[in-house]
Amino acid sequence: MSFFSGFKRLTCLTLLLFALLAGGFSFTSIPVFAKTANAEEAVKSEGAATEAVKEGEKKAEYPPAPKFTAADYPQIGGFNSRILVWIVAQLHLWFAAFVLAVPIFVLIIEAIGMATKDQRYDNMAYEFIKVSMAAYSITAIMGGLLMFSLLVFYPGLFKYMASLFSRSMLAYAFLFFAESASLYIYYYGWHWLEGGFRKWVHLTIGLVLNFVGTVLMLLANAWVTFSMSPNGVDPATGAFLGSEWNVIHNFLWNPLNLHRVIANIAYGGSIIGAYAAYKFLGSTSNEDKAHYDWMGYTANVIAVGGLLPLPFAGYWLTKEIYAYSQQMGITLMGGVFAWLFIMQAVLIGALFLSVNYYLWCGMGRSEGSVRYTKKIKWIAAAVVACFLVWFTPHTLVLTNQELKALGGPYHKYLGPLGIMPAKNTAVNIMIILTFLSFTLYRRANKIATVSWADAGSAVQAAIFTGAIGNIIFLGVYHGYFTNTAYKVAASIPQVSSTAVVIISTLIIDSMMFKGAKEVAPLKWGKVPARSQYALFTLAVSFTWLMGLMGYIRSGIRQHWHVNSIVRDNSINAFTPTIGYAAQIVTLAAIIFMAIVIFIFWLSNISSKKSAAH
Amino acid sequence: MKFYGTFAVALVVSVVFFLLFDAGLMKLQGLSLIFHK
Repeated sequence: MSFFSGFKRLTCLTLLLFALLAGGFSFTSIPVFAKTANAEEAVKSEGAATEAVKEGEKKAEYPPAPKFTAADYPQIGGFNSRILVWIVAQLHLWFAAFVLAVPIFVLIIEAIGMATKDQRYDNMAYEFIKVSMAAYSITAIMGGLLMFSLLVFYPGLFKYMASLFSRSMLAYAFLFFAESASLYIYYYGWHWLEGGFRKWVHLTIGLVLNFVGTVLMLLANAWVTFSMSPNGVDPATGAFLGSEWNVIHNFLWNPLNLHRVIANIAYGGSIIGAYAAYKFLGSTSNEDKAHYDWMGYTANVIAVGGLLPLPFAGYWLTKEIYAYSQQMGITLMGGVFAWLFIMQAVLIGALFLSVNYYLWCGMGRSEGSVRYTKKIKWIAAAVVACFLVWFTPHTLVLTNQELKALGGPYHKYLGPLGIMPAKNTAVNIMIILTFLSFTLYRRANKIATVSWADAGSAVQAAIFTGAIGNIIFLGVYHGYFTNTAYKVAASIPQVSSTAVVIISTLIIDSMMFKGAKEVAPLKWGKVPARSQYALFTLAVSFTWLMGLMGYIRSGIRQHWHVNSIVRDNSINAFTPTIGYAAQIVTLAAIIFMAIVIFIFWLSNISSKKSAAH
Repeated sequence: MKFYGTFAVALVVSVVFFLLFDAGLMKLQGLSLIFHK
């Protein structure tokens, strides 16, 4: 018994350690706290360069980075190397995001099942991991295809990267043993490792799976971010300076790490939601409908939970890109790629509308939601208004005649809505309103029994109102009546206000609805079919915008393989038109969706076989 | 009326809180809440 409770403590401590590790690397890189840290790093790498120069006198220097000509890029008839690598890399990333995300929330749902002793959570967690099994092998196939494509079409670049990241690439390959072993034991041993102590062992294996998966992602992220913000190499020659850690721990590594961890969770939730929607629409019995409706709702909560902080992880990444290279930053959002961000704004707006719509449809599961139905139209109107501001462009695409007629590249009245303060204001309010929809959904089926329920709701309403007012004040005053430094800095209190609303509302809710009465049992399965299409919209929108953002991240390197170190001299090294890029992203997204539907279909045929038995 | 009374008081408190909150976060970034050239 004492060993078992000791093991329980150990698992809890390991969970805590994992959480600390995951948060720690990003915390130390938060700009407000790490301003000096970045300056220190710059001094350190300069110091490292000087040291390396001294050491070079003693031992052999590393060779400089290669200089390529068009002849260094093999041409295989019928293949456009750039498009192939682009599509395969994107497909790999979509599947990798999915298979990394699923174990995170499977672990959490399994833990909830253990804590609540509710078998439904355990069954749902098992079903989630089952869906990701086929995706896991496809991730590996795409990864292999990507590696072969890079070897065949960009052998010189791959050789250079492999020379810098030799140990981490080997570690990456060997870690797949641990990843596969833990995943297979976690999945195949699900029912074998049931009950008491064995369940704790199972949970620990799930933790190991998550840890290994995260390390794999961190290693791969280093290769990507090194291409954008190289470190640990001589800035003049690109020669390796001897420390692989410096090459890995480059400027954009941690911002991308944080962004991808959060984005993976949101994305994984949306794909599982699409799976649940697919199964719901195909269900014939009420029991199945209820099961998949509940699954879709849970997946949606996960997706929204990841979605809410995501814009800010993205903003931080962008801020760090600007801080590293103004040229890259301006290309990103003020230059050639600016209009791609308008496309992204449309997709994200669609995401928020979908999420809200799904929650509003879901309120029909409870009879107690009638008291909130009248409020929904105001939330809808406000979300739409924010959406309109969110995707209003700044610089317009105009012919010379239109430019003359308009008197400049900006619209006289709507132009000011195209700059970042307006965007930050709009997105923060959209997030708060989405959270409001979620709050109303959660309390629709509850009747609070505490004496201070009315006062509690009044306080919550005041916090919502105060925060929205504050966000508008910060956006308007600092956005239009101050200078750039204030404009950018004001985005921090804006997002913090949103965080205050979410955290305080959750805390007050947890106290206010303790011992609350249920209006009636929730009618799982009693939702209109169109709510399931909202879940499909979520998955497709997420996929498409990930592809778009992936292109942008890669494209801002423009004619560099490794920014300012290794020039891309292949014949396909051009920045395509926005329309062309959008077509490639769309093609890749369609291929991805086709494979995902194949995976969903596989789950159908496997369950048919077991039903026959 | 009780709801609206509580709401009004809580709103005033939250406005004050948010202004102080903003000032603190701007100060952390080396700036003040009100713009100075």
